[in-house]
Amino acid sequence: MNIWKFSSPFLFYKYSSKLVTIFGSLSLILFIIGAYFSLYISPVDSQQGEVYRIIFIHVPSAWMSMLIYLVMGFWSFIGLIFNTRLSFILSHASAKTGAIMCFIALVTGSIWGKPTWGTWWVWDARLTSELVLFFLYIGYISLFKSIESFKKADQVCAYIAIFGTINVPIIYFSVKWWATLHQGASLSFAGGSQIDSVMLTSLLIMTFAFWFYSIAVILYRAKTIVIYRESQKSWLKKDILNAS
Amino acid sequence: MYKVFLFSVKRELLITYRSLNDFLMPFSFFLLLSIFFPIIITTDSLVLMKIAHGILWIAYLFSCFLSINRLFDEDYHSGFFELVSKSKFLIAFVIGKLFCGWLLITLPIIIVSPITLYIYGINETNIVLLFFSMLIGTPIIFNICFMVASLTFNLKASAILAPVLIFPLIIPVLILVTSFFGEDSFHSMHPFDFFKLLFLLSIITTLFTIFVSYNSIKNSS
Repeated sequence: MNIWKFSSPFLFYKYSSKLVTIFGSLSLILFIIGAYFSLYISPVDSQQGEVYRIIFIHVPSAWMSMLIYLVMGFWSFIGLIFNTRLSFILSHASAKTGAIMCFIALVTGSIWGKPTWGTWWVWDARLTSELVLFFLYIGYISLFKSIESFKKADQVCAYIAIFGTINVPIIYFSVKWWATLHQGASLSFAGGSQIDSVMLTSLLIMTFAFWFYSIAVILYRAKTIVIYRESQKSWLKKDILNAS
Repeated sequence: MYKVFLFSVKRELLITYRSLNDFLMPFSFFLLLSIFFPIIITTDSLVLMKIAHGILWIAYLFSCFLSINRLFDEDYHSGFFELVSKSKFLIAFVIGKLFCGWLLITLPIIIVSPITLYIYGINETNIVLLFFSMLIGTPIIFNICFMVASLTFNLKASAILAPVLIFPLIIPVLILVTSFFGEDSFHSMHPFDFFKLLFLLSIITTLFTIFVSYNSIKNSS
């Protein structure tokens, strides 16, 4: 079997609907199980009380926001090397989901921070680098929107995504260095308590739920972009006429 | 190759000589900003001493934003890029443009920066250190600005878009330089190690910028 044939928009269009259904339903099931686990089964944290439960959304979304940027950079890199249409489409489709994940992580983080740290926002290393990541996403999306021809937009945005991907670890370490220099270790992320095994299980379930949700949404968005870009192709017209 | 590079440098210098206004704009903007900061914030010299290095870099960054929009506009609209993009010496043109951009926009600012720092009340050692850190560190910021400008020069919203793209990308450099000069961490790093780090980053960004701008100009027409 030739793996490269899956890079054609035609085959992607054919298989993506099935994949969206599979991953979408998986993520829905996992969300329900994860919600039950994290809201009822997990024990109350001895130091933070009930409010700690927000980390079951906060941590997975923060992980996803970083992972999706790496995925974006990866697809842009592949796209620039092999000049495949689909990899640019996937990279572009990931951007919005990544920005949403970043936003969720920031908002839930500050909601969690108000009762535990006593403030909505501190210039902590993780918070700042997440905010910078959010701006990277915003820059990528607004750059894509402002270029009319999508061929050029693909190329231009790919460079920005790759440079951003190289920059993300640098930003993280520089911010960490800067924040620890200025404010000391007054606020550390681990709340002092060892993580319970039930908590870990529910956290993992929620992580996989977020993961499958992102895959489903990204594939669905990519499929829409394929339809938009390939609207003049005969195979697409035939398929849509057959379906209706 | 070398001759093409020299030609490109000569051409840029000639264009600048004929429109000196463009040359003086970022420079005078930098001076204006650095005068405005004490007026707006405070004239207390103790506070000014703490924030002077930050003001210097922010003022430089803003003057970069002001000038990068015009870096490519004229060449694009006059059809120069269309001619050059077919040439096999395109890379020499790109290097020449990058070099001249840094020379004409940044160097005047670096030269005048000790005077600005002096009126802020910084001591001589720090002025010398800041001067050299600007000399080695500004190419990083200018490279990233140049790269983004080369990607966005023929877009409608480029004036707003370029800063949005540049800000997150240069945060590591800004953090590096400001935390080196921040008062509580001044002795945490040897100046030579700091300069070496800046130099390394300049080299890496220069290579990446040349590569990206080369491809961008090649595909622009």
